[in-house]
Amino acid sequence: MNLEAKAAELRRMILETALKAGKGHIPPALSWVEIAVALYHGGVLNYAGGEDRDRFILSKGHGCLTLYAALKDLGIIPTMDNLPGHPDTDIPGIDACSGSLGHGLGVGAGMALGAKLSGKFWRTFVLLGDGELNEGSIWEAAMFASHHKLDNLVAILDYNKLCSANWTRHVIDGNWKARWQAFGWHFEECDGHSVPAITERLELKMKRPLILFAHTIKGRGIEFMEASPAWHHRVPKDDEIEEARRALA
Amino acid sequence: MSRKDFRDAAFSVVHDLMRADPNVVVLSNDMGALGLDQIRAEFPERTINVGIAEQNMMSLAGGLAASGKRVFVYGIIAHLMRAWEQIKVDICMPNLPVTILGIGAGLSYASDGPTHHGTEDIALMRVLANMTIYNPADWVCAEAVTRMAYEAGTPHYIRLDKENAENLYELGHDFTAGYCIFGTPLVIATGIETQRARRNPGDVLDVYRLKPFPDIDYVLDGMQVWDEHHPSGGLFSMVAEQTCTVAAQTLPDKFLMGATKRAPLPDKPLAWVDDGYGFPVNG
Repeated sequence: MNLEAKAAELRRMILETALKAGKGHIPPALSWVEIAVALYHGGVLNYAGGEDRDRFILSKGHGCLTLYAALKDLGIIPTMDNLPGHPDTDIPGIDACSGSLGHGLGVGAGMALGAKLSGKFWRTFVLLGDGELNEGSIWEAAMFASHHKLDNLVAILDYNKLCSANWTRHVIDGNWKARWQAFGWHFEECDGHSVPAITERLELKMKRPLILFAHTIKGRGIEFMEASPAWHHRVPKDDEIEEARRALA
Repeated sequence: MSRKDFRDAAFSVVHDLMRADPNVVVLSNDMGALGLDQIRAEFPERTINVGIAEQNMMSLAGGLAASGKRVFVYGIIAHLMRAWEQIKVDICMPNLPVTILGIGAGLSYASDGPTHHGTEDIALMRVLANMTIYNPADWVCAEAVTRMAYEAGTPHYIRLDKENAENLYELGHDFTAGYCIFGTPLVIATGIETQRARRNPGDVLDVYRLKPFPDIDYVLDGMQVWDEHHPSGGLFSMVAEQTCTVAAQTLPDKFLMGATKRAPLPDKPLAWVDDGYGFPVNG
């Protein structure tokens, strides 16, 4: 499978679904398309293993158009239309409710601990937003996971440096790498738009939880949306529609 | 008649369940209790002190339950309530087998100050869809409802008074009705207030299941509610709601989740909400 072509296909599905609905968070979805492709198409995530499948939690639930596109492409859901703007567990293929930020890592730590208590070897992957790191509950979960040596827990940071209203560095700045390391996590980073680079790091087996900083561009693929604080949840209109389609063609 | 601490009664059942079911896990936020210590001594791997981190404790409980565990969460009510949204999103929305054992109902910790008073918790928990609430008035009921919560396999909140009191119920009592009538009561009470009412005036209607509120086949007119809880959202509100003659058009007690059932109509973009939720949001 050509994974770059798959990423391009998912981007078009994301745009067309949002255009049809007239709403949706497009740039936060475009930000993590290659991460989704690495997980679902690149062989990282064993999503079809029944009870022993790997779990995936989209903690930044507003990025759900990408998840819906991946699930639709794999035939797990029949359509991307008329789905909620943040995922919940009534939808096939969704392992946790999300949309309120700061929940996913704790739920993921619970799943990882559950696997350990059951003697199972499946892994739990959690996609975090960088704005979400302002939530205190993330850090409660981070210190719990490293204390309990949850080496079956992987967090991926969609590190696009933007939250909803501003650049994250203008809201809460700091050395995020040092913070995760101080909380006892194994740290990796890579180009978040390179499927091979993401895949390589997600297959690392460490003796403690792993955090991958995937350096991404919010709105990746549609130039006028890229890295723009104005485009968190705007939907293109008028001339912007064809321009966006051309960008992803 | 015999005396027993409500909390130790609940933990004795949890202990039995842990011996029978390897999937039972207990979480606490750095709490000690005789019954909990006994459980920890026998099952250290499945009795986890998560630290003083209630939000994470509730998220962990949801994650554990989603991976096949039956989870009991133990802590002081006033502090557990800070994690209300974690209880909502991570436990109640996915409708998972997590039972919250809260100690310190009402003014159990009266002299510890208002940070420790459990006086708003019923109101907070009862608005969560999928949640069942028990408020036992003695240790026999505390034991029974702890087992019932496990067997139901859905979100439960068991509100425990910090009390060592004699039993009102006989062992083996059937607690499925949700309430019990002692004598010819003029008092309707719950939890520790039922104990007080049994002493004086003596006759009482005990409501030990607050959600779903039981279908009480009894004339409620003229009765007085005794409840160690804020007047809003507790037993008084429930009785008032049941006896109120004003019709209400409100949202149903369920989460509006999942794939929508039909495409939006041109003039009714939220038609699916009408269908799925029974509420006319389109005017």
